[in-house]
Amino acid sequence: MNAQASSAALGSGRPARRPRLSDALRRRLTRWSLYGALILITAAVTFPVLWMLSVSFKPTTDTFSLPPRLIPEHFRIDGYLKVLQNASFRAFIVNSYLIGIAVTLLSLVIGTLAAFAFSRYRFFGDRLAKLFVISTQMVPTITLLIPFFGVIVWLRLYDTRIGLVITYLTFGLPYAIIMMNAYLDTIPRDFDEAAIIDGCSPLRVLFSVLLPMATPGLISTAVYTFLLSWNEFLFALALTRSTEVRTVPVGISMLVGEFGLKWDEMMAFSVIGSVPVLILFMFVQRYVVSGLSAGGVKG
Amino acid sequence: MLDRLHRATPYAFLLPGLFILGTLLSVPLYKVIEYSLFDNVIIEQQPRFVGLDNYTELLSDGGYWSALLNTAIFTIGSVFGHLVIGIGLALLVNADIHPRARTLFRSLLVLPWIFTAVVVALNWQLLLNPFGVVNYSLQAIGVTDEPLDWLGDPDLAMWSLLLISTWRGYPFIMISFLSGLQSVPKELYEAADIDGANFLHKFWHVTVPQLKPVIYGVALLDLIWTFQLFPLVWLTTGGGPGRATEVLSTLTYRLAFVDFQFSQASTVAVTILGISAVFTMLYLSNESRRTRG
Amino acid sequence: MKRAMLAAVAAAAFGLSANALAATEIEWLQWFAAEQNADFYEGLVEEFEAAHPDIRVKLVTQPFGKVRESIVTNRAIGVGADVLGLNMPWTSEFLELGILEPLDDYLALESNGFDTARLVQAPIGKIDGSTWMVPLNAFPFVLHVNLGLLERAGFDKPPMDWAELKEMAVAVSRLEDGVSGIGMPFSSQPPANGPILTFLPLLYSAGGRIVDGTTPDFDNPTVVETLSFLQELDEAGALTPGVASRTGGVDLEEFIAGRTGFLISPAVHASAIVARNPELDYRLVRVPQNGSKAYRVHGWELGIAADSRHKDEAWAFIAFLLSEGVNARLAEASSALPGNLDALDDDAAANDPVFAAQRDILENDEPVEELRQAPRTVASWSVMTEEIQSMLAGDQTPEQAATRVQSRWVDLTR
Repeated sequence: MNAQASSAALGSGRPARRPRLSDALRRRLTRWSLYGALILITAAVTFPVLWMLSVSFKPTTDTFSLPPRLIPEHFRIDGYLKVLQNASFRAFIVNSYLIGIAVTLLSLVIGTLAAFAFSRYRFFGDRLAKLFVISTQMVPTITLLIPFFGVIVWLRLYDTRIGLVITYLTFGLPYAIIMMNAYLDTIPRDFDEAAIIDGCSPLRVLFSVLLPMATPGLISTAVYTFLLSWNEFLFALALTRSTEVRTVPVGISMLVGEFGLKWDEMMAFSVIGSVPVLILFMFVQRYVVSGLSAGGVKG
Repeated sequence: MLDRLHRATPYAFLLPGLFILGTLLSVPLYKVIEYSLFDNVIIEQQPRFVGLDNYTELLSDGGYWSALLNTAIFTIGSVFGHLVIGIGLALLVNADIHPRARTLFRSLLVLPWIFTAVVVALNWQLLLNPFGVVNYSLQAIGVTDEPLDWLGDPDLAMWSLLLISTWRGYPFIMISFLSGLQSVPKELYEAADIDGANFLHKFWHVTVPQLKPVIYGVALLDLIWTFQLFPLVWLTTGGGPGRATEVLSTLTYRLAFVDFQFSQASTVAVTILGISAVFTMLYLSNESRRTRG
Repeated sequence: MKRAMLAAVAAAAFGLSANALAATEIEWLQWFAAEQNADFYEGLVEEFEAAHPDIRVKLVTQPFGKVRESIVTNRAIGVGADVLGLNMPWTSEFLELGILEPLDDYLALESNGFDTARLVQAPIGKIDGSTWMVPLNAFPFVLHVNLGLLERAGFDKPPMDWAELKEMAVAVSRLEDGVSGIGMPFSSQPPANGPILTFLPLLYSAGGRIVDGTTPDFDNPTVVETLSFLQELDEAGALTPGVASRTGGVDLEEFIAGRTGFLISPAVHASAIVARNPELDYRLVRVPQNGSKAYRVHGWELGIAADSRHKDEAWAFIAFLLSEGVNARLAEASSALPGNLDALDDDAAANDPVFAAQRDILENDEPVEELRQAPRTVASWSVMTEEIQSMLAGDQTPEQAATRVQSRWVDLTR
């Protein structure tokens, strides 16, 4: 499918008159250079992450000793033990996941509905509505902090997980709307029309026809919305004060002290918190590939 | 009857989203604009109305303009890096390689995205320390012979920041583009093949046109977000050394939470809002031109 | 049926009366529990609540970097805490914002479990006629010494004055790559407080000051002398490279890792240094003098929020924390000197040379604390950091740096 296209493309796509051996060689060279490029780039990009892992498995004194070593000279799991044994930190991880999942689900559902409206309909005020949606992203969140804080307190949601969910929803929803709008826009209207002729209601068109084709977009929107709420720490710090409702980024900030910080614990905490996210992502990836390429409604 | 129902449909779909955003954000957005028209908000119980004085004061402050310039450099540089690397990697990962390898690379390449700003800033601080591993490697291969102060040298700091920002932000573009790639009908590529198209040709004439909405969408979002990005810059360099990496968002934070000048901070925020609004208007008019055609 | 109703009414009545006896809840905002052992502070709270069944204390912990802004933000929204963990440099801004409650009446109470005269006096001195905070603990700024590196460089005891400091620092820097005499953390990263960590202690040991009453006074000869000293150290190669990106945290870690000969920082670090690297030949001495036996005093302070609705209860808790027994344990947990000097453990000094050195400084040297009345403190540090960065990069002279800091600082106060 795409594979055929790209490899043929990279091989300069000459007509099939050429002897097969040369084609196969060319294809292998292409594949090797692809792998080569990917390996090189991936190594460069993951090096900082490897460094983080290294710091988490070293006593901090080693982190600051010379020469800098990627493979720890003294392999220690102290950082991890301290994090795992700390009940607060375990609570932080659970909270981060709960909040992240809630925000993602809500953003996807509400956002896709709105995106459908923007993508498939022209209506009075659509430009204005879209401008409003995007404008919520345009103000630096730090200036929004105090008035938003006031709203959360007024709603009696200060120091609650729901308060954080609502907060992150306001960040994630506009993103979900814009992105799902864009993904839906890539699907030609023919599919809608075919479905409508078949007697589908708009909701049916969205859920049975469009969304299956936009699944990759849905997944990537979900991933980003989750990470958005996962990584956020300014509002998490401001809007919570009890250990029971705090999240991982707050926990990490706690390790930054007045005069020094706990490097190994911080990196360990970060790694522990992120491993499930990574596993989740690896699992969810297979659904990114399915989609329109399976061939949509052809009549 | 059905016709009226039909016309009401888009509003019904839009309602939940607009309701949530409206109730939660209208007041804060309004407040920020309101604060910029008063003096000494938050601190004083009865702030004084000063109209546009805050704006004139701000626009005549050299620090504002240099922060604006830094923001432009930082934003354009980062978004450019994100797009080039993100799209490039998406194409690479989507190419003809073993599916297991694809999953592996895709997972690894998404890693920079997963960590919170505090950790990213501190980790890069370690890497870019004058005696850190980056300098160590550069000296080992002979590129430099003195330890470079990547985050402390005014001439290098912005470049280091761009590097970190590009590293952190490209996964967004990559994943979004990758998802978009799945939706391009293979028949279009096959047709291009028959016409004898090479890779670049197919990319430019098949992939890009099909994915225009996605590309524009992510570019706009990335632009708007990077323009007001705060935690990464503040935690990595604090706007320094000597304000060399001071961007509008760090200026806002400094005014609000170091100086407790919330009026001034809101004024800067409104200018950020204004500039982002210009990008958005361009995006919206471009989009309607595209979808009409 | 009637019996059930009667029972229900009785239950309701009981519930109501139980409510009437419900405890007052006060909130303690601090960062101490994040610095070391959260359990210890929770234990203290439990102990207090056991002794005072009508008061409940909610422990709210923020990372240090966020506390100052949290206090202001929370108060603006109306969700502020009652007992506040404080830093002395925040005083003048907080007073301007009306955040703190005067403590004089409380300090005069007979029922306090401590003697006000025996508290560390630095935070207690009156401003505008009142006392605004009390010391939980105190720590002097000292010179941490890596005697091992000194010996390798040919010296056998720590420096006593600036000349010796410079000589030794330069010699240590020459030992090997990656080892330097002393680090100076002048990074702009938040909180950009390098100047008050290293520059001020040196300045005080030369008898200098940066504030005159409540006005900035940075442009004076002693300041220029101290800035020149820093520049001399740099030009002689005694400073760790990368001054403008070096944070206090990294400075401490490199000292612990044995890569710097000296570290100027609060004495509290001693316990971390000893615990993390027992092989280090470590000494704690006063900051080398240049004419004055003075040290910068810092610590963790406590205050009461002006808009607290439970000030009496808040004070009861503070008094508890300042009482001799509790304060002694607090000092030990935070590796610092107690705020209540009656809680000083005389035996500890006999057994521990590090602690003995701190006692020596405490008892014989002049404590200096001038940041309480310095205007726009936090913003001024960024200014100082930037001008010192510029000076050490060779872009301006110490005189120019001092003048620029002064004029920028004065601008901030307008």
